[in-house]
Amino acid sequence: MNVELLAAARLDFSIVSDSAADLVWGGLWTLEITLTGIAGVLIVGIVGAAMRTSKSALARGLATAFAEFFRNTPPLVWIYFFFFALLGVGIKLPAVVAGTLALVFYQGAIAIEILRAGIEAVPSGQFEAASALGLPPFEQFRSIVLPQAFRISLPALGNNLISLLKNTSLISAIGTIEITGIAQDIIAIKLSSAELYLTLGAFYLVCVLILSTIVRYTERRLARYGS
Amino acid sequence: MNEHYFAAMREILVYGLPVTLEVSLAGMLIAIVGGLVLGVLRALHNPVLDSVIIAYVELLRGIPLLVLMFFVFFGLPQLGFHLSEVPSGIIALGLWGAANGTEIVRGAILSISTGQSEAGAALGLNWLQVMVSVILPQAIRRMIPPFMSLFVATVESSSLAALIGVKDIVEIVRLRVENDPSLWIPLLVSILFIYFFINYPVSIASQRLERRLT
Repeated sequence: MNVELLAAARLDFSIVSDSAADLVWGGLWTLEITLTGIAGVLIVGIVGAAMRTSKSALARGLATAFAEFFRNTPPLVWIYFFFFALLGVGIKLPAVVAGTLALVFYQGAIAIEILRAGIEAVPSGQFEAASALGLPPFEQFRSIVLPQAFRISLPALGNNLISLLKNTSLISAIGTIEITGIAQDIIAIKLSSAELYLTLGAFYLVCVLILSTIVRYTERRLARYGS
Repeated sequence: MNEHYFAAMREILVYGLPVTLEVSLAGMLIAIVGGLVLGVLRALHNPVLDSVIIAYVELLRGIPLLVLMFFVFFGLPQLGFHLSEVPSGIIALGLWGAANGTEIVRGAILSISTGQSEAGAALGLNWLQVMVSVILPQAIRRMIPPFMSLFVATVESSSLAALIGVKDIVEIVRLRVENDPSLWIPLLVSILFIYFFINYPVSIASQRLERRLT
């Protein structure tokens, strides 16, 4: 017997079209969480990497501890932590906020390491030239070091942002907001799931493809400025 | 709260931790074996094989592991494949890891200069002999740091198996707090440290090795 035909006969995609409106809504939330998350990850990454490479031992220690702890522990546990654990001490964060915060800290910790490596790869002559120009330290970092470090780090940073996009699915563990949670909800009612997971997979695949195209385009744009 | 905490911690360490380690290590084994096989096959430069392997890698890296895990556990039974929780978790984790492993192995093989395989061929070795006794021994050193990073990612990702009902350390926490919500913070912080103590040495070693190689 043909296994493929058998499998095809058992799939009925009308379950997907019946709940199309809910799925589109969930998809938009996934994109919204991803975009907010990207902004958060870049902020945490840049501030953290600046601290990690600063002259102050305290700043270095704090940023290192933050980065090492978050990136070596599972994002799912952090999502539970920001949602349930804070609830236990009277801080009630909505699931989207708790989930986004957890992911921003986890992916941000990885971004710190990526940008630190980028900063260390900037030739030392650039730092010397920047201070010879008499720029204040913040200006040296912002207009000389960071743009070059960013360009060097972009491929790895892009992978980290794609990982953020995929990890937004973990928020389904605490609430029904983004597309994976919405799909789980529909499955719980309709008791049929393979079609929805295939649709879900296709949705993420397309989003990952778009995001990686944007990253590659940015890489090419920025390559003009570098050697 | 104290005796409840210690009872829960005992369950986590005695029953949960072995499950977390079992799922992680089995997933990692599939990732290493699958990655080596597919990565070496990529070096054959066979157009058909290449497109199949590229499709597999891009597909598995383009969807969230959680969706894959749900599909294996909840979706496959509808198509006639029934797997229980732990095998589902291991298979999903392994398939995902193998896709990442393939890229690691391919990258390491590509990083060995073509002079090496030409020298091997000049000695009269066939493709397989060149691969096994010339290329791989050099490439394996470069695979070790990224495979260690993949191990860290695999241990972290093994926590997703809790969402399909695998009784790992995360799932035991979730079951325990149902009776006593005040346990959330102490138990979550405790398992965060368990993950940290497993992963931190590996990720530090990976960074050191990486630095020594460059």
